[in-house]
Amino acid sequence: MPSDVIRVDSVSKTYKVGETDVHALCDVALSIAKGQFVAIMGPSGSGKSTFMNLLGCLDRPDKGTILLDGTDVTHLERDERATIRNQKIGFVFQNFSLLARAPVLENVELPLVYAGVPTAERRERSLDALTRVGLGHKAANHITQLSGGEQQRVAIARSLVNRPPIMLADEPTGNLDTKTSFEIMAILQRLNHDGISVVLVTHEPDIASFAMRTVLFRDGRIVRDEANSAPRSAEAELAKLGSEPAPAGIAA
Amino acid sequence: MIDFGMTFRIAVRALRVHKLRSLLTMLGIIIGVGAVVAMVSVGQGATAQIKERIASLGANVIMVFPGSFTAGAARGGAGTQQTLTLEDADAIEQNCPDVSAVAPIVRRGVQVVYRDQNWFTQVNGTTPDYLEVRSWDIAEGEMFTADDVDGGTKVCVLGQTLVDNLFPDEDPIGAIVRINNAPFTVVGVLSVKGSDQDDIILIPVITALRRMTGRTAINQIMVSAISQKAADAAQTEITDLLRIRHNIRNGEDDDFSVRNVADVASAVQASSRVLTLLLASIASVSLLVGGIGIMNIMLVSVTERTREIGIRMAVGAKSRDVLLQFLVEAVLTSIFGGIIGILFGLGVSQLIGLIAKWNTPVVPGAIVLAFGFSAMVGIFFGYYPARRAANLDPIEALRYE
Repeated sequence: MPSDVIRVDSVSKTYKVGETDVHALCDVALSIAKGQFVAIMGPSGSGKSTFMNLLGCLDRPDKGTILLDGTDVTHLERDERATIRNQKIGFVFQNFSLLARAPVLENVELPLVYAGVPTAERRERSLDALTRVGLGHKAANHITQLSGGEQQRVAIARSLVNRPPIMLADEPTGNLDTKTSFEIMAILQRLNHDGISVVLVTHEPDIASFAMRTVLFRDGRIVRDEANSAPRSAEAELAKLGSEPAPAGIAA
Repeated sequence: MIDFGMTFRIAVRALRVHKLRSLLTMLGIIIGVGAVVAMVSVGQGATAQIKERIASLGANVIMVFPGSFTAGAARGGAGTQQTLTLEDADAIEQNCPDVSAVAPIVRRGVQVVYRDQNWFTQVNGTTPDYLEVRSWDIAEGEMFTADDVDGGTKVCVLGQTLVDNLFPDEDPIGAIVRINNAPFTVVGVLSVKGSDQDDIILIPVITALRRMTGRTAINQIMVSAISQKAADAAQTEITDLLRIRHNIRNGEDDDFSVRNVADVASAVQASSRVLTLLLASIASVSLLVGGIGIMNIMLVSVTERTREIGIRMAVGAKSRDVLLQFLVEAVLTSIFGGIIGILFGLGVSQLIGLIAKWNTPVVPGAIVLAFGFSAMVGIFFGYYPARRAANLDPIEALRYE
């Protein structure tokens, strides 16, 4: 099915910890359609991190196949996977994972640097991505001068600068307060609305309720997979929080 | 492929974050390269200096000294015996076909007085041939003659240093100076030779023997061979002649010694070459140690920046991008060190030149070599840490705290 941006078929992954085998994933299958916003939940050790590593082409499965945006990435070599990560995936991490020593703009540029985009175009596209997350005015700042929420927005700008079809967000609100979390979710929802498929790992049902679909992992298997008939709108929640409107610069 | 300007900027930033650490890392390279540059420069200066001194002794010069004095087990140095005479010098001139000029020399330290000025110098009693042997010219006036030598007249020729000190603003020709209280007429002034060989007075050898020493023994005979190639033959002729004249039987040791300046020169040059080589090898050990220092710090740096490497890999850095980044950082460290080392080495060599009063030329070859060597040290010792960074597992690297 060409409309599936992610297609995972009977994937297994086993780690050796000392003498014992740990079955991190057992025969997992999952398809995510283009433009979906999927929340992945599950307790720690349920296999969701392993699953995200496989989706992110950071690792390879022992069995099964993985197709990302129509490309079979199951057996790719190290450097080929680096290219897939660069072209097809935007990562957002819980701890932001920015280069603290580099200015904001340079952090956003990073995927374009490795994509071999010329300097002028790199600059333009990075500024554009920063503007989309409402931080166009902070391009010259240093990472350390930004708040946690701003840092996560820089990370989001970095993840979308190379226009990937998929965004993988691993507990992006885990280190943020409620209001800032909602701001981040609002950005993700808006980007999703603009066309990017989002896979979000979270252990907070509150955050998962912003997604269209929730997939629950337990003991290396998918135990529940259900559509969310009425996903919450982060914009609306922010409005309900009331006291302050959404941060300036976030265009609807 | 990541562009080079970006890699360069990242590396410079990484080095600037730990300024002191980077400087200390460079120190080994700075010292190594500095030592190479300084040693080569000083070595070349020394060799040039030696060549110049030897050349100033005169062309194809062979020196004959009296033998060493022996009493029981105690032996004096060369010239402590009084075995050479003026007749020996004459015999060499007449009987050795490969000899072009002979100058017997009698030396004494003397006080020279002119009016209210005086100066302590060395008087050399010799013959007019002295000028030919030593390739020296008369700047003013003329050399004393063979007749002056035979007659033992009281005339002298001054070196430039004496002119400067005794006749600051007067023409010395025709003036009367007192040497050990005896009046001598100045007939000529020697040209400038430098390295203070100009602190000298020449007088006829007979005059010197009569007035200064009261003996017939002379201190040295300087001989000029007809050509550089003939120097060895001349040396043999002189040795054979003097052994006969001094009645030395086969198997007995000479009571004199004959030295060829060319031999001395090549020996000195060989030893200075060996010394330069030795210093250069010490310097390369320092470069090696500097390289190990770079490797050590690069390994620390890779560990510290594991997370950064993870982030770069997550957004699409390939192994070779990471490898290149750390390699450039290592090479930059060593090249910066190399540049500082070159400046440091040049400074040191100029300082040594200033103190030793000889020229320490800037040797471009040594600078290029030192620079290339330091870059190679960076590549060689930076490769392993860079390889290690490039082979990190992105998942592990991202998780690293």
